[in-house]
Amino acid sequence: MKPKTLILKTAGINCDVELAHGFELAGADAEIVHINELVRGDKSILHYDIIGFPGGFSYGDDLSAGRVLATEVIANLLDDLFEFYKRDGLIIGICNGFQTLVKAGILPCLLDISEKYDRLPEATLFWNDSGKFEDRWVTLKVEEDSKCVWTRGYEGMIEFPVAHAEGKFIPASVEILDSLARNDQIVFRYCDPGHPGSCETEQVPYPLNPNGSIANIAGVCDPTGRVLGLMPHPERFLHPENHPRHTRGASSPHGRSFADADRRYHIGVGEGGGWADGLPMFVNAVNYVLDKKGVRASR
Amino acid sequence: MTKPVHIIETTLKDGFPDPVAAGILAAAKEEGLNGITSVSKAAVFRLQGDFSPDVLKKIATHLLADGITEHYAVNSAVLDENTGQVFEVTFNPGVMDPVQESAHKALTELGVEGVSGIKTGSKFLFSGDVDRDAIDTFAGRYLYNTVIQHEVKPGEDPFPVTPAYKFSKETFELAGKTDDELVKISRDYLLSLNIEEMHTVRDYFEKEGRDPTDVELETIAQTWSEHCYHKTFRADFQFNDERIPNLLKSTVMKVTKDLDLPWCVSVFKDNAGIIEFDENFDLCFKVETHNHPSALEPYGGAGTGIGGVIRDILGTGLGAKPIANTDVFCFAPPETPFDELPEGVLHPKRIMKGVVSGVRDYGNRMGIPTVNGALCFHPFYMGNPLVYCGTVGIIPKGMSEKEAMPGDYAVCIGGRTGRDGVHGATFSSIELDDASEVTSGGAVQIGNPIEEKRLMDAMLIARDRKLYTAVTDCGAGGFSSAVGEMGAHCGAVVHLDRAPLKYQGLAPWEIWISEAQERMVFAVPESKYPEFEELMKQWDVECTHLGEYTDTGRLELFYDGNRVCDLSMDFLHEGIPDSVREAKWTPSTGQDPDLADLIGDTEPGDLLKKMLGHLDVCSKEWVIRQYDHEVQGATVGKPMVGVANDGPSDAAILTPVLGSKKGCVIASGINVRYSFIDPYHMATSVIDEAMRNLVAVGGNPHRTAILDNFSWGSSTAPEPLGDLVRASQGCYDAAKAYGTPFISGKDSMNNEYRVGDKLIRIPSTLLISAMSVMDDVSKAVTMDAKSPGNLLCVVGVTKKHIGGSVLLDLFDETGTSVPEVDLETAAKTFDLMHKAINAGLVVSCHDLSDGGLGVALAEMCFAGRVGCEIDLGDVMTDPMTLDITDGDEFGLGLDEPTILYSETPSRFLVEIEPTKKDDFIKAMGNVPVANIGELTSDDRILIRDRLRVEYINESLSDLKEVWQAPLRWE
Repeated sequence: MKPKTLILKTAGINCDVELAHGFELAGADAEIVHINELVRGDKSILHYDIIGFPGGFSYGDDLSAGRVLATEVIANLLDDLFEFYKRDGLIIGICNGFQTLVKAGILPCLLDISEKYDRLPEATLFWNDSGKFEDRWVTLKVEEDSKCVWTRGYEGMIEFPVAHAEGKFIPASVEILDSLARNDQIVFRYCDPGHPGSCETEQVPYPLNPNGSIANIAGVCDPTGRVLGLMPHPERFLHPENHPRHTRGASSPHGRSFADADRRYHIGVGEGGGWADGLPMFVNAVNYVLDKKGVRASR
Repeated sequence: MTKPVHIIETTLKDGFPDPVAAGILAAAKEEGLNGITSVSKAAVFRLQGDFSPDVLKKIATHLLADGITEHYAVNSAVLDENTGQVFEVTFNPGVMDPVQESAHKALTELGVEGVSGIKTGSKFLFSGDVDRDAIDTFAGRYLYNTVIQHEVKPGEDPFPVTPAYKFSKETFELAGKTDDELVKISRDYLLSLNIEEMHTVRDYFEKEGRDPTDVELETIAQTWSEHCYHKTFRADFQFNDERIPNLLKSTVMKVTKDLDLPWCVSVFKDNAGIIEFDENFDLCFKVETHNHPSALEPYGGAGTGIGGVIRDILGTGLGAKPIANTDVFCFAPPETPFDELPEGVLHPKRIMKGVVSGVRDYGNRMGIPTVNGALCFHPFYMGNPLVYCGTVGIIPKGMSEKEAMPGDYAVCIGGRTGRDGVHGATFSSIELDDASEVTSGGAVQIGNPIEEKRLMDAMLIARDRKLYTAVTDCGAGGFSSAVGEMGAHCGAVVHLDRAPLKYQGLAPWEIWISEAQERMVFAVPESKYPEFEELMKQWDVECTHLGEYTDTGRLELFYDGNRVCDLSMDFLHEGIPDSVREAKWTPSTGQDPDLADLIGDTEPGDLLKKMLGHLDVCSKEWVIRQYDHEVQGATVGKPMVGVANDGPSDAAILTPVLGSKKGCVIASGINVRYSFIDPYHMATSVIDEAMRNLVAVGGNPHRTAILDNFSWGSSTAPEPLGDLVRASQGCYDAAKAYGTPFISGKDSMNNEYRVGDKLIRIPSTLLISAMSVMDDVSKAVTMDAKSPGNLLCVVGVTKKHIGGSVLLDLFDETGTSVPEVDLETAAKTFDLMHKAINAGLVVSCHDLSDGGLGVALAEMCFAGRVGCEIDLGDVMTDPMTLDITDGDEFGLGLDEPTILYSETPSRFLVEIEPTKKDDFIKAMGNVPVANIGELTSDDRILIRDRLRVEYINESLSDLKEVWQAPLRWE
C-alpha cells in the first residue's frame, strides 16, 4: 500500500508538482487537490495520510505572505484539519505553506480550534531584513534532539535553497522562543558551515542566515513532531544534479562527497540511487505512515 | 447613496526596521535632502461599505496588520504626522490594483459582507526639517510614476464612478480625402498607418460602397501594425545597389528552410518555435521585447512583458507549459547624473530597478524559474531601454497543431477588459518623445500574475482533457489580434458587449483592441463548452462565450446587436500593400587607436581590475538572486556557480521531466558595441557567443535552435535599415555554418527618443537566444576552476580583435578591428568541444567573450577559489595579425593587453587533468589547443608576459571584490 498524500493547490501555489514528485519518489501516492474541491466537499482531507502545503505565492501574497490562504483555511478547513491531526496525520508546509500554517495558527502549536479567530499569534514570518525576495542555497543545522518525524536520521548539516521575501521567523515573545527550544520544536537553523555550533548561541550573519530569522530558525514543528514547517525547499533537492556544486563532486566546502553521503542515506530510488538532502524527509513521512499501519517491510 | 469610506492604516512597530523606508531615506540624503531625519511608511487601505467599529477592528487585526510586527489605526493616522511632511500615493482610476481582488476574497472568507470598494495606497512620512517642494520633486523621482499613480489629495473620491457607455455608430469618411487629411486621421487616432496603407484602406471601403467604422479602422491598424505584422522586416529592401525581396524570408527564415532539420517541429508560424525534446515531449521558446512600456513605467512594463511572453508559450500549439524564463536588458549607465537626463526620461537606475522588480514579481509569482539573462549598458539607451523577456515551454508530442473549426465557440478566459493597453500595438511603432507619457499612458499596464497563474493551471487541464481545438493569447491588439488570427482561415462573429469589463464606459473599439493582460482566447466545440466552462469555474477563472468561428471568411463584430465591423479576412490579413525600404550601409574607416597610448602607465593588474569592474562584465548577482531560478525543481545548471555559488555560469540547464537526466540548455548572446563597426559581425559574433555558452556547459551544438530579437532605431531611416540588412545577412551565414535553425523571432523597430531637435537612437541591438538538448545532465560542466595542479588550456587562436571590445570601451573608444568569426573553424570547434566534454575530458570550461581571456581567467579562478600561473607567451596567436608597426621587432606577436582582452570568437578556457591532456588535444583534432599554465593552491592569479616576466599578480579576493562591487546594490 502507498500512503495517500494531498498536495494543496490554489491560485498562486507553484511548488506543487515538485512536492508531489518528492512524495512519489519516496513511495507515496500524491494527488494535487484544489482547495475549492475541499471547500465544496467533493474531496475530504480525512481520506489522506499526509498533507503538503506547497510553496508559491498563494493569492499573490497580497496583504502578506500566506495571509489570504490562512484566512480561507481557518474559515473552511480547520475542523477537518484538526480531526486529521488528531488521527495521527502528517502535515508539511514549505515556504508559502509554512507561512500559511503559521498565519493560520497551526504552527508552532495546533491547540484547540474553538478559539480559531481569537488566539494571539505565537509567531510570524516577516519581510527579510534585506527587504527583497532572494533565491540562494543555505546550510542548515539539523537539530538532532528535535522530535520531528520528518527529519529522523538526519544529522549535522544539510543544504537546501531558500527563495522568499517574507521568511524572517519571529516568535511573539522570548517565552515562546524558550518554549520552542525546550519542547524540541526547533527543527532547522541557518548555520555557518565553518562554525556549525554558533547558530545555537549567536545570530548568524547575512547571507548565511538569509532573512534575519530570530535564533536562526529556518523550520519548526508542532509539539508532536508530526507537523513541520520550513522556509527552505527540500523538494528542490531530490536529485544530485539539483545541487549548485554538483559539478565539484567531492570538493564541496563541507568536505562531504556525494558518494560518502550516499552510503549513509542510500534509499535506492532514482537512477542508481544518488544523494540528495531533500529526499529522506519524504521517505521518513512515508515510513511513518507505513509503520503506523504496520505494513512496512524491514529494510 | 454612496456608502462611507473607512481607512485602515498599518505600519511597523518600533524595533522592526523597515528596509523600504531606509532605502528611501538613503536616496533622499543622496539627493541632498539633508534635513530629513527619518522616513516612515504606512500601508493605507480604503474600504467602502457600512462597517461597525468591531468589524473594522477584526479586518485590521485578522487581515491587514501582522499582530507581532505591525500596529494599525482605524479612521485615523497611524504615523505621527505632525513630525514632518506626508506624501500619499495611490493608483490612478482604472489602473489594475492586484491587491483589491485578494483582499476581497479574504474579507469574504472572514465573513465581512457588503464591501463595495477596496483601494490600497502608501503613505510616506518625512520627518525633520523638510521643504515641501523638495519632497514633491523627490517623490516624483523615487516614490511614484504619474503614468499609473498620483498623490492623494484631500477630499479626493477614491471610488469615482465612470460614466456608462451609450452606443453610437462612428464612421470615418475616407473617400475623397487628400493625402494630408488621410495622414492626419492616421496620426490623430494613433493608427500608425502610412499613406500607402491609408490609400489601400480607402480603396477597400470604396469597393465596399461605405465608410469604415471606428472599429474597422482600429482593427486594420492593429493587424497591420509593425508589432503584429513585422512589415519592415517583411518588406523588400533596396540595399546600396542590391534589391532584396522580403528581407526576413531571404535571410533568417531561409536558413531554417535550407537546413530542413527533422527535429524542428514548428517554425515561424505559431507564437513560438517548437523542437523535439524526448520521446514524449517537445520544447518551445519565444523571446519578446517590451521596450516602450518599460520606458514609461518600468515596473508595469517589464512585468507585463514577461506576462505576455508566458502567454505566448501558453498559446503555442494547443498550449505548452512554461518551464523557464530569460531576461536581457539594455540600459543607460545607472550612475548618469540627473542633469544629463533628457526631458521626459526616467533615470536609468530607476528604470533598471523598476524593470528588475517587475520581472521578479511577475516571474516569481508565475512559478517559472528565471534562469538566464544578460545586462548591457550604453548611453544611447537613455530614451529607450530594451527589455527582452523570454519563456521556454514543454508540450506533449502531437499537440503542436491547432485549428479553429466553423461552429466552435470563441471563448475568452482570464482577466477582465479595461482601457489598459489601448493602442499598445500601434504605440510601439512610434518614436517616443517627452509627451509620450501623456499621449500613451493608456498603453502602459500593471499586470496581475495570479490571474495569469490561475488561467495557466486551468487551461493546461483543459488541454489534457482535449476540450478545445485552438488557443491563442491576447497580446498586442487584444481580441482583435487573437480572434482575427484564429479565424483568419474561416471567419468569426464576436459580440463585444459580452466581454466582461473592469469598469463601465468602454466603446466597442476599445473593448476590441484593449490589451488588458491575462486573457486567452479559445475555440471550443459547442459539445465541449459545458465541461470547459465548469472547469474554469472550479479554478476561479472567468470564462465568456464571445461568439463563434464561421465559414463566411469575414470578421463580423456586434455591439448590442449593432453591426460595428464587417471585414473580409483576406483583406485584413493579406491586403497590406508591399513596400520597399531604402537601406544604406558604409563600412567604418580608420583604424584601432594605439593601445599603448591609451593604457599609458596604468599597471597591468589595475587594468585587469578595471576590466572586471566594467558594467557589462561585472557580477549581476544583485539581479539574479531576486529571481526564483529553481522553482519547479528542475534547475540543474544554475546562473551562479562555484565554491560560494557566485561565479557567472555560461548557460542554464533544466531537467523539465523530473526524474529524467535529459536536459534543456538555455543561453544567449548579445553585444551592442560591435554593431557600431559592422552589424554583420555583430550578428555572427553573438550567434557564436550563444553557441559557446551552450557548448561550454555541455549542450549539444547539433541539436540547438536559435531565436532572433532585433531592437532597432528606426523602420524608415536608411542607415539603421542598412544595419538590419547587414545583421540579417550575418544571421544567415552563421546559422547556416553552424547548422542551427532560427525557429522564432521578433523585432522592435522604432526605438528612438526625440527631445526638440535632438534624436537619441538606440544602437542596432541583436539578441540571440539559444536552446539546446543534452542527453545526460550529470555530464554538465561549470565554469569554476576545480583543483590545483590541473592544467589551463585555451581552445582556439587569439587574433587582434579589439574593435568594440570592453578594453576600448574603458577608454571611450570603439576602434575598427571587430571580431570576425571564422565560421568553418567555429563549427568544428563546437563539435569537438562537445564531444570532449561528453567524453569526460573537461573538468571546467568557460567561454571567452566580453573582456576576453583576462576576464574569463579571473572569473574561473575566483569562482573556484583556486589560483593560477600562466604564461601569455604560450597563448596561440594569429601570425596574420602580427603588427610590426607596433613595436613588435622581436616577432613576439600580439602585445599583452591584446592577448588578454581581445574578443576573438569561438574560444574557450578549459581546465584539464594532467593525465588527460594528450587525450584532450587529440580529441580536439586540428582545432588549436594551447596549454597556458596551471591551477595552483595559492590564492593568487599570476600572469607572466611574453618574456616570461611577472606581469600581473593579484589576489583572488581583490579581483572578485572589484567584479562584485559595481552592481552590488541594496
